Amino acid sequence: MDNSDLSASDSPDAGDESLDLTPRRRDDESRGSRLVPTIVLAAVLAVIGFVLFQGLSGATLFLRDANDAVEQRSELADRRFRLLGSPIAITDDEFEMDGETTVRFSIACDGTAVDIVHRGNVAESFQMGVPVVLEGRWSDSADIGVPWNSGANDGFYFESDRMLVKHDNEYREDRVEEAASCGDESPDAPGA
Amino acid sequence: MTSTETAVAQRGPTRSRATTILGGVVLIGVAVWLFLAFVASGPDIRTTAEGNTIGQFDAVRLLYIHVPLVITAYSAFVVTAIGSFMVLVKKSVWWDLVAGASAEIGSLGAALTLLTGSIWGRPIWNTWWEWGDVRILTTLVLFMLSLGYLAVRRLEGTAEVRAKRSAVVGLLLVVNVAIVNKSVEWWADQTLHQNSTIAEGAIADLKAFTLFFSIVLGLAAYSWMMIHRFRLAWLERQYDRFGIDDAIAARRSEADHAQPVTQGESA
Repeated sequence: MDNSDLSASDSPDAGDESLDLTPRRRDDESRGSRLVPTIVLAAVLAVIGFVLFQGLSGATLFLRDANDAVEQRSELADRRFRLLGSPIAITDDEFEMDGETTVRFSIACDGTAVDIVHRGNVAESFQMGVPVVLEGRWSDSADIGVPWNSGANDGFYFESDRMLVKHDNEYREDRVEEAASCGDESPDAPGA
Repeated sequence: MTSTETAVAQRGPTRSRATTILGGVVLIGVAVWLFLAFVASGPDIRTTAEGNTIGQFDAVRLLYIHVPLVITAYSAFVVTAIGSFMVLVKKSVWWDLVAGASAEIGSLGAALTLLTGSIWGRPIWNTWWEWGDVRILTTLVLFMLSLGYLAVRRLEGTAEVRAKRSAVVGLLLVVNVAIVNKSVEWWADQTLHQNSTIAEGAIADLKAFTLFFSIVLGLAAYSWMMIHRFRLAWLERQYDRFGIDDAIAARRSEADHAQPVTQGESA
């Protein structure tokens, strides 16, 4: 195979000046051949624009770990945010709250615990020690009327309605404790 | 009939002994891969010191298809970028066809990466798709950019203009590959996606072997597809060139027939 130059003529006869070599093409064929790639290109640019818009317009929610969320509690007030931490205490009891089935558990990160009241779908891979990302806002424990027996029990809880799991990249049995971390080398649970 | 025409008639237009052997190796590899991924290699189940069971269970098997797909897509786009660079520097048709063929396979790899990632995400992340996730969004942009590259290749213009235009977009692909690859480190607090398992040596024993085997198999399958697609693109180009020759011959024939009529009119 030759390594032809792009700028080279496509045909040895192309330089024949005695002939009218203007390309002849049917109009519909010409329109069709231009239209499809142009539509694809426009769709591509539209999707890229949409993705960038989503990213820049706040759909990209920042993950705050339990330690940061507790530190910034007064600034966050009742703002919705994403909370990251590893479950340290999961209770089996479900209870009704405003007519909805609710579960309670506690998460921790960097030695700071947060109590959680979660309404809605519980992830299949929700496990002790595997970090979860919860979407919701801070609430005052006085509203709930159910005492906390473990976890932070500090007068606040995180009221979430969406649960995602942030699984880590460990698949080795000899590093199982690293897998159970919420993302750094600090102990997750208070006093751990 | 020339020797090339005889070979084409016997084997098909893009097949050779080497591609037949490579294709056979890939097929055997797929059988071995299926056995390793779904029979020999176990689920991801680990027990912590506290007695808690953690892991991805059977969903880990998707790792053996998702990771090879993304590595194949990355490799394909790197080849596209090299081809694009060579087009701009050497103005080479050969590299232009290499870049285009590789981008087509890369687009397929990127699409399947998004699909398998979504299937894996449902049981592990508890979501099919997350708009706020940086890794997913950058991968989507990479896929869309590759479609854009392929669209630009087909826009109106001479072969040289189209090759140069698409080469510029082709170079952007490799920049995006780097962004996708590093996104989990650069924006760790804006993604559910885990860090690189391979780079951190976070997999061992039969799982690691299965993963590396599947990556090698993915690259072998890419090579096989690449050779065939490139040869097909080369034949398409040859066909276009012969088409021009045929058109010129037809014009010459028309001109020869028209000549006596013109002379008769002037007389």
